[in-house]
Amino acid sequence: MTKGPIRLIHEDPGFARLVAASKNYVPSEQIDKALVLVTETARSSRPTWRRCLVPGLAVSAAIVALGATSAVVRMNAAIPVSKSAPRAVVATPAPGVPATALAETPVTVSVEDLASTTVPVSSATSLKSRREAAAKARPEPRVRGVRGHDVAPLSPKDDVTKNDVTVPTEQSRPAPAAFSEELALVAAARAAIEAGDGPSSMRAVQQHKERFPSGMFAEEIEAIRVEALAASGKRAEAHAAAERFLATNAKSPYAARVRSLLDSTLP
Amino acid sequence: MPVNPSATPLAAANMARTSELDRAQYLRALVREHFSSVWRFLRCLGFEDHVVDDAAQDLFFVVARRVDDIVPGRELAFLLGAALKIATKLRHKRAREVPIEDFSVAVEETTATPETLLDEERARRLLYRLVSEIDERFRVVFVLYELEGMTMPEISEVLDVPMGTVASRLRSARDAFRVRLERHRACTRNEKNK
Repeated sequence: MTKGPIRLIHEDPGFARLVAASKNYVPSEQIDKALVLVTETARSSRPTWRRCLVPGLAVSAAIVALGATSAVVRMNAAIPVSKSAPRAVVATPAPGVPATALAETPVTVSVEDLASTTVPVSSATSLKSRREAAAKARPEPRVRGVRGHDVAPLSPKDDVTKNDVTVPTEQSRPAPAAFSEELALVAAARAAIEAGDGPSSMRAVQQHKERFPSGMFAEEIEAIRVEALAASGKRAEAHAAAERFLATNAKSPYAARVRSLLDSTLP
Repeated sequence: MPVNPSATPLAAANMARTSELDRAQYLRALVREHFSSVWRFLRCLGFEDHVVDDAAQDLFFVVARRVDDIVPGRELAFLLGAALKIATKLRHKRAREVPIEDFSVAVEETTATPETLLDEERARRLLYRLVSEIDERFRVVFVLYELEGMTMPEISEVLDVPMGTVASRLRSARDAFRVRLERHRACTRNEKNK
């Protein structure tokens, strides 16, 4: 019973082709944006109350111990508002969306909604019973404080509004100023290869290797390089590069695309 | 924190998520491995392009701040569940429904695209259209099982519904989908024969 019926992709080759087509498409621009976003967010999510510990160590420790819970609340609530720097050049708003739509008030998602993996398919489940189910289902998450000391997690009795994580709109997410140059180069390389311009793409790839040898987008650039080699007719090089890429990046979103190049560049 | 060491880069990165650099690397691995699935999942459920894009970005923004809530090995389930919630809220905020016909408009607008890419684009849009025609109650189960390859126990956990419910929804979804697919094929055949 738990095994389930034979999947449609195995029953219906036409359907399998449709699914393959959907998996061949990679929302590259969106992935690049998300890569920058998570990196920036990881960097800026240092606990802000750390800066309040001005007095001597002993007093600081007391403040940490006493203020732990409320500090966690403040920390959770303090989503960084966008820096004054403008958003990266490459970020494009969705077509057809009026400007006013982007300036909306943020969507609020409760932390506990995310902590459990439940989806409110049947709205009959009350918030309280979902919380209880979530608490029973897995151990409460530990929130990490300064230097890895565990801070007491918020108890389910806390007011749910304190747990709300305000999800900012496009405008107020942290501006990826630090990576805009690298991002622009990757976008240029990608645009060139998608237009079929192997040489231009290769130039952008080389520039990236020179200016950002340990850049965030090494994997993306390498996938583009394989395509650029193939597009420029350098089949043997492309094939070798494709094999190397797949050996180290098997779970890349570009693995399927690179694998198809492997086939088309067979020696 | 319970850790489940395994061979995947993602699991290995799990083990050292506390430092800032490792946290960033872990999050990037999460994006690379799962973003496409999340995006495709939302698209197949019928959310409009801009809602999908924004919901996916919002999701990873929130996830970046909630890294410790993710159970290693259960990342995709967590992400899909959260993505569905975020997208649903976003759509309600914008209160906009895209008519089914709009799925085909975008294909005509793509210019200077190699023929194969255009075919793939058409195939994608057809898939999204067919799936979006499945009853909303059954659509999620269908997408998770047939497109994302999740097992029924996994789906049961992600959606927090009993296995029996998953099984019956899947059955209904598959039946409905097969009908639509056949209807589409019949129409296409008729067109060709004219």
